[in-house]
Amino acid sequence: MAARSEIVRQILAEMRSGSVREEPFRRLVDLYYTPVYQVFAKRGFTPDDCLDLTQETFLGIYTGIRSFRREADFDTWLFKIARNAFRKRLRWRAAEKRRGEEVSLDAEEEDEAAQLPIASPEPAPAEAALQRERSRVLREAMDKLPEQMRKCMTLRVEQDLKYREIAVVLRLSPETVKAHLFQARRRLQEMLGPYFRDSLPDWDEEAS
Amino acid sequence: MNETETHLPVEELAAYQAGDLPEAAQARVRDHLMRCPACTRMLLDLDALRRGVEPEDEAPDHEKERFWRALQPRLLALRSSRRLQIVQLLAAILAVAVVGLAIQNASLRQTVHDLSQPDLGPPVRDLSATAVRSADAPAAVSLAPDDRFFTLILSPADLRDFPDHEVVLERAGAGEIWRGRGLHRNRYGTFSLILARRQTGAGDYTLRLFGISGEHRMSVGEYHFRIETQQAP
Repeated sequence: MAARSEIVRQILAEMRSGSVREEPFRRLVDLYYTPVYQVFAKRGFTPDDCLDLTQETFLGIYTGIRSFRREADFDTWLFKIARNAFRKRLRWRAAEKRRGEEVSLDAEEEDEAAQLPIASPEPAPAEAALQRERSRVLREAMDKLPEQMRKCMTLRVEQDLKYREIAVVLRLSPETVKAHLFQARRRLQEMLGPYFRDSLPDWDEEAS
Repeated sequence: MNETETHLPVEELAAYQAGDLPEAAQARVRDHLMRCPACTRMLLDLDALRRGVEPEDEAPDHEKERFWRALQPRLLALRSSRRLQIVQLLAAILAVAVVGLAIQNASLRQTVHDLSQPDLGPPVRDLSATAVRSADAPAAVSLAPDDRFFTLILSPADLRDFPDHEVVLERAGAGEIWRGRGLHRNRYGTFSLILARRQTGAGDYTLRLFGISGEHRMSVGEYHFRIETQQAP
């Protein structure tokens, strides 16, 4: 997004040089409000928390703008501020939980993975054994796929990513990812037979 | 991700996303992402931030306006606290300056007081630079309990004229304890140097005399002496 980076460079230059920083900062807020808010929204924070964290992020930018190195990438710098804001919020939440004595051992972990969807309740032992067996067979079959196809499939199955997300992670085009997944599904069906047809992840229905 | 592996730094993910990493590093990052949902999430967030939003997903102006209005009081508070910090810093600097000036003032008052008190018969000692090179014991300056000053008459080894002179006083075992400029040869060809008792103390001293001419500094004499202090009866 060359146009945006040019606008940002101009805003930052104005903020650095002028005694009145509010007007250019306002333009920066207008430019980044939505993407920053969405970073938090995608992490599963409530709208109130998202607004608060977005505010924290912009206050961090306002405070640290003079220390921002001109040659650095502004988006990366901004993202680090946003990430620090939500890490701080996660730590605060964990501390709140500890105070309420509702904490599990997992809550000690400040890992961002804590924001990922919680696993479904544990299945019954027989069902669990069956699931384990299916996973093993599926994994063995996936290992036989060509590398790129296997990686697309692994990210789809294990990290529940969408086409576009897989494309970002593997630096491929979404069309290539789609084609790989289509091929992978066909090959797995051939390898595993109709028994597994319903257990294979349904990537055709993703909302993209 | 295994337990010993750490998450990738944001800068590395940003470089990966921008395609700025060499092939080997790219492969390493890709392998890590395959195993690490947290880093994958971070990459996707960063990508979304860099990519921006589609025009139809952009927040409406009234929402941005509301956000800006909510942000302003916090910006104002931030600016006020920063101003307060600057004022506090200036106050601290001012306090240090005032204390420093007060100490200097007290020291000057003491010096004026000392100089205004008649000091009858302060010790005077002739020091010859040539004597320094001999194996003789250093010249002794004996200070009575009420001697506050003593005078050293320095005969230089180098008789050339210099626009200015500098004196460096070193105490044995303690190194340099004082230095001063503005010393001038008197009409007898020597230098008179008055030292305060509180500047020194009993012990062995070396005094170095330099001639200063522009950028040049040349030794014109080196003197060794010993100060002996007499106890009050």
